[in-house]
Amino acid sequence: MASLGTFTLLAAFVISAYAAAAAIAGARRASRSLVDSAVGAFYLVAALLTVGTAVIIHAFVTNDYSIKYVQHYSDSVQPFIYKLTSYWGGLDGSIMFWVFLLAVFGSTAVYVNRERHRELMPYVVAIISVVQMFFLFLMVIHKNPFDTFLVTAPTEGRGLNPLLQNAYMAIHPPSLYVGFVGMTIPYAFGMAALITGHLDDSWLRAVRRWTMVSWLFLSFGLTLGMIWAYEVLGWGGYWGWDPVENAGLLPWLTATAFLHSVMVQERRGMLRVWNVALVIVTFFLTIFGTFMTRSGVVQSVHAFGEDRQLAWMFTGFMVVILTFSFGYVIYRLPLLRGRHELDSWVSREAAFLANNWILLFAALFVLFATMFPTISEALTGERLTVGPPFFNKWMLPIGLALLFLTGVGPLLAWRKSTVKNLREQFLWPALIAVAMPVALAFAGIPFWAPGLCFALCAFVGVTVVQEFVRGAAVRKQGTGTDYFTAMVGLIARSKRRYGGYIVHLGIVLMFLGFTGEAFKIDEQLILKPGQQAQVGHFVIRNDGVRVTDDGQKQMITGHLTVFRDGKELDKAYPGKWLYRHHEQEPVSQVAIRRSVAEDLYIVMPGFELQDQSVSLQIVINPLVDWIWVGFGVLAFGTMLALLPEQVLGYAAAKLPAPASISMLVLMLVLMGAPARAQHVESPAFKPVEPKSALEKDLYRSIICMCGTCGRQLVGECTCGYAAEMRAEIGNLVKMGLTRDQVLQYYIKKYGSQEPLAMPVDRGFNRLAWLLPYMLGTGGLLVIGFAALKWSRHPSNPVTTAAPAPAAPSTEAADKELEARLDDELRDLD
Amino acid sequence: MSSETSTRRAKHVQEPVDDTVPGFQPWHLFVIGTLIASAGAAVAVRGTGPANVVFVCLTVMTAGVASYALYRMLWPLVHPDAVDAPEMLGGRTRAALEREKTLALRAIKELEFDRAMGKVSESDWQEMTARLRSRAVRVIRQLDSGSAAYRELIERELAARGAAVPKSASENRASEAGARSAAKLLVVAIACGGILLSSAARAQMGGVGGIAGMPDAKAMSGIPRPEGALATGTVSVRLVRGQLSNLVVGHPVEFIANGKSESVKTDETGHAVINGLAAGSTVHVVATMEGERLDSQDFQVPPQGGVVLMLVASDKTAADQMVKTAVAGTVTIGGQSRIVTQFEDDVLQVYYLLDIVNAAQAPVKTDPLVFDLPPGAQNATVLEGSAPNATAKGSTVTVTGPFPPGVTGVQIAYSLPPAARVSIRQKLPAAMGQVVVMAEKAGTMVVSSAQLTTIREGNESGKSFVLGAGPSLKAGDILAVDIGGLPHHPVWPRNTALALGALALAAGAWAALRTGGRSAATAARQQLEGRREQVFGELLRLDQRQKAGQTAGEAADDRRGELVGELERIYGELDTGATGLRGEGD
Repeated sequence: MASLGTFTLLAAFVISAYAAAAAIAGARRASRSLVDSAVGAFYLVAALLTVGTAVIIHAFVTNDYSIKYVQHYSDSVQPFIYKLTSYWGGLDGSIMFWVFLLAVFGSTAVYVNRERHRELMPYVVAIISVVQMFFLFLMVIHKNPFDTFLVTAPTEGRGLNPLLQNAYMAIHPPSLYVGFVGMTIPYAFGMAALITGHLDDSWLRAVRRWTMVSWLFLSFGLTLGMIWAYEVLGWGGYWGWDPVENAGLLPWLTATAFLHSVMVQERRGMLRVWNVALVIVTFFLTIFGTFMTRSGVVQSVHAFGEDRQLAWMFTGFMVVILTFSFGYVIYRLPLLRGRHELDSWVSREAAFLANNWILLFAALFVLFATMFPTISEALTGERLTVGPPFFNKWMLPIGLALLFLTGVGPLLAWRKSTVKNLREQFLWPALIAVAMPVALAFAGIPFWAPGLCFALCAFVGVTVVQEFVRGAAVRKQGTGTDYFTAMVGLIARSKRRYGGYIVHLGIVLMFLGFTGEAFKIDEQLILKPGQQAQVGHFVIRNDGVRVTDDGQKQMITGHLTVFRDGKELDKAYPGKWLYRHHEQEPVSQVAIRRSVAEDLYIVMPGFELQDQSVSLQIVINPLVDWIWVGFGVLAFGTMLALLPEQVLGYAAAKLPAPASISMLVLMLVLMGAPARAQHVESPAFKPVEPKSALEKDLYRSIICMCGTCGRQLVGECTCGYAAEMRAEIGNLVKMGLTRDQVLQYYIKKYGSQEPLAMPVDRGFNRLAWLLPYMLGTGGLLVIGFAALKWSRHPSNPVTTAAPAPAAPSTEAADKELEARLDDELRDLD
Repeated sequence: MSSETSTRRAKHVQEPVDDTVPGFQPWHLFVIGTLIASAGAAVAVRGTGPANVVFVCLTVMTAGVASYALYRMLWPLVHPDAVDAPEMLGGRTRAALEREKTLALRAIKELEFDRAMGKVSESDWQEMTARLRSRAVRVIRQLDSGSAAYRELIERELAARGAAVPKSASENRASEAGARSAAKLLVVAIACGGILLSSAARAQMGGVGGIAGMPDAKAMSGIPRPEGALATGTVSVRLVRGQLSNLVVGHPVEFIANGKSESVKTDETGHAVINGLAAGSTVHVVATMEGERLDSQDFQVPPQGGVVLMLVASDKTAADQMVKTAVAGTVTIGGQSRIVTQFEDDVLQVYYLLDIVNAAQAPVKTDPLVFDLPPGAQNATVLEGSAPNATAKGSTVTVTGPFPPGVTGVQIAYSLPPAARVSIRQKLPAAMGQVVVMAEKAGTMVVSSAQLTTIREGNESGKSFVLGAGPSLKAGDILAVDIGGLPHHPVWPRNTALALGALALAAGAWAALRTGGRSAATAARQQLEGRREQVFGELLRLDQRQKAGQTAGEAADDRRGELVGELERIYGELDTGATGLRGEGD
């Protein structure tokens, strides 16, 4: 079977080359037979890779350890589902899975668009085929997943990494990969439009839906990654700004920018170069993200390890992409000139411009900060860390600015907003937004940043509600139906617009969840059997440790009882699982007690079987579940926007009214519930030793240096090394060392700035601190300059846009056409 | 006709359909074939477990899909006439234009809605809606151009042509012929690949692994070792330079324990000792010598006994001293040197374990010893523990002098790509006292060399080795050893695939560039004109037969309608081709 697998890869490579060659030759020679043959070849590549996929899955399922990849990433005791997911558990298989998804996704896109955009199809086929060729080339010459052992095949496999044996990990990579490969489709259409010169807006419409699908999968993948990090890695958080997480976020940011700026081109004929550039950049970032993950240029807990040969191949491919793509953009600049100018800074297009600038700034910042340790090591030889505090410092204001624009954008008019417009649209959202922080201040919530975030969430929430209410009112007036029918009809008629508003609502809920981070409580303690401790308003009691085994792994489980207000609330069972062949990599099993207001999150980093004591990390995460709810709302909104036009057209009345408002109200009520501390008198009560502000600050400023946990903050990492470092920090603080002295101590100890979560602002590292300012200022200047240039043009839109005077002979025909147009508009809902 | 109702689905190339057998489509055959093959496979592997049976069947089914896709790829090349074009209007398909119109109408409605919600001013609405309407009208006009407007023209043309015999359609198909020649070239490339690849079904692609590192003497530096003889809470550090006997005296060593840092100087025995550390406290030891930072591993003070460790610095002084006192002379590769091969991770690892011998009493200065490794050598490296003056760059290893009296150890490692037979040809930069080759046996390995006078096999620790020995060689001689019978994956399938891929691309580039000076638009126009002649020919023959009473009835009328419809489309396309939407704005 391995030979058949290798054959499919080799054949797919050759057929991809044929598809690219025949498509271009067919397009150039206007030969339909060649083009159709190329399309057939394109489908054949997908079919061959499906055969290859079937072969490798068969090998996993039947424990065929003659194949090295199968032996490295599975074993006989692995559950069936994880034998399937082992397919993408390693580098070789993940490349194959990638190209398989690309082939299937690409074939679907070509099949769906074969009639609508036939003029672009040959080039779309050629470009996707070339991308496929690259990934197939990697496997053909370097990373063949069907490679067999030459001498003696082992009788047992090494097993999949235990961290990947998780339900979320079964879905997370495919989802992220679909999001990544999906971005190839817009790129292929964009480049086909550039090559053919068909640069009107039709290619945008072809790709908008595909971008939305990919964006949804990327969002889904990123959220699943967050849930996985939260539930499996066991450090109490969900986003650690790990390079591999960032690799998924980068194209998500630029794709979000594209989904907004595409509306400006559709409505106003502006930002045409910008949109093409965003499509190219998004695709490039998907390849760059793959390069980061697979070449080992960045250190990450998720990365596949260092591979210089692969790094060079990716570098070459990326250079080709950039040169070819932007070369064509420059060549086609005359066809890409905007048709209209920016009429006013107080307009929706200006808001989109700002939104795009901020999203691109965020992407550049994340890219730069992720790569900075590599750049620094290459230039200065010093290894350092750019950890979560550095990212959060910048991404917090960026996120808030985006949230603000999420609310402002829909309220502004296209072209220009008048004072009357502004007053009518902004009155209620602004009032609520101002009232919210004032009310929160009375509840003791600081303005920066939780208060401001809550205010902006309220602002956007009211904006969205207002859009629905007013839209329904207008429709009710126009159609004469009742309010509910008007609301359903409104959504059914403008699925993209109102789906987008629901997405905004999802974003608001996610921001509420992020804000909960400001109220997080995190404690580490050791409990002997029968001993209990209070964390926040919960009391945790240790009832002992049990050891069980299911053949695949040994499970050590802590048995805990959770009390609140003196009453038993629940049992909690945090654990450590030791998988066969991976005994050195114990996996934490987190006990999470969820509620709408907060999660009680318990990890058991250590245990002592002899005296049944447990070492616990207990985290109270307020509002965190709203992130997942928010994603659900976001996905619902995106799917609504993705529905074909005909759907809901006749069955609109069956659609339930969105429950978002009630959720928001519930959220606001829950937010107001004060967290009450409770003291439990007990002889076995173990008080949690309060940590000083300095100690807590240092926990967030120093990373764990165990070398395996992936640059987690020492306050969050649950490994034994981090516990030792925390104890060490505690001693240093007790000795009276200042923050700087402690940091210097660690620099001296490890001989570099690597233990610091943020590089020290001096020497070459100053670049890391200056670049965001430079990027921001530079971007502002460029956009400001461009916008000023547009707005200085003498604008006489009515005359410029009006059709040229018709010749007398065609006037009658035009009138007839106008009348037909009016008829059709009347028939259209 | 309303543009709304003008949507007319043209006959597309969904399937290469044979109209004479409308009930049976080619894909039916593939479905039946796939089902039969799956059933056969299920019977063949019965009794091997449900997972195997299910996945074998699935694999066979996917292969069936691939077969159909192959048919789809080849069919248009074999039967180019069967490819029917979708209706193209101004370079765009009718479907695309219909969608464009719908979107323009939707945009107008959306704008009206915005106006009703007070989101757009009256003047802006007028301007924007005028532009959208103008776009919609233009698209409607374009859609109309493909309809019955040409019917009159066609009938006139048909009448004018009378009973004249139309020109041969083949004359008008020059462009298709050119395209087919390009296609044939590509097909040849693929066919060759198919044959070669299918015969290579058992073949595998090769891969190259890395070379495993070997432990070195300096690796002892910084590793803590519990020492029960020491008092509890004591850590003793020995600081040496280069060799163990070269003690460093009076040099500060820093002990960092639980945030406390204490510096202790080494005594006359090269030891720095710290006492009284609390059991369980984490300790890290650092010393800096001439800019070289020497770190210990982190360790915990044991509850009983102490810890000893050693920090080893590079011996730069000795090296300087040696340079000063070195005299001109020669060195040899000692008789204890070995060439060792090991088949590991599916590549042949080759190790040169060399003793560079300086028989003189003083350091010797020589030209650098340059080892140009055999062709194909990969991942060349000097193993840790070798003399510091040995460096690897690409496939060349250079050992620079001066050499101290006695033996200088140099260990070189590299790998050779997997192949059935490898040849090691190594030019020796110095005389070699005795040739000794040790090859760990793998498969049916055979070692041969004219320079090895004895070759025998032996076992050691359960492993088989081939041991070969031969007399001395002079400086400049080439040591030649051939190792055959190695396990390997053949590389020709991979190379064939790469060559075919390159060939297909080259053929594509050739076909794309050799358009005879015609642009795609011109070619398309010529193709349309050719097709027009063909259809007119058929229409004339049909009319003639009808007049002659040879054919009549509904079928003939339908066929005539189809042909006239196609002519309408061709005329529309010829007329609007030059005024399409290419790069056009709203």
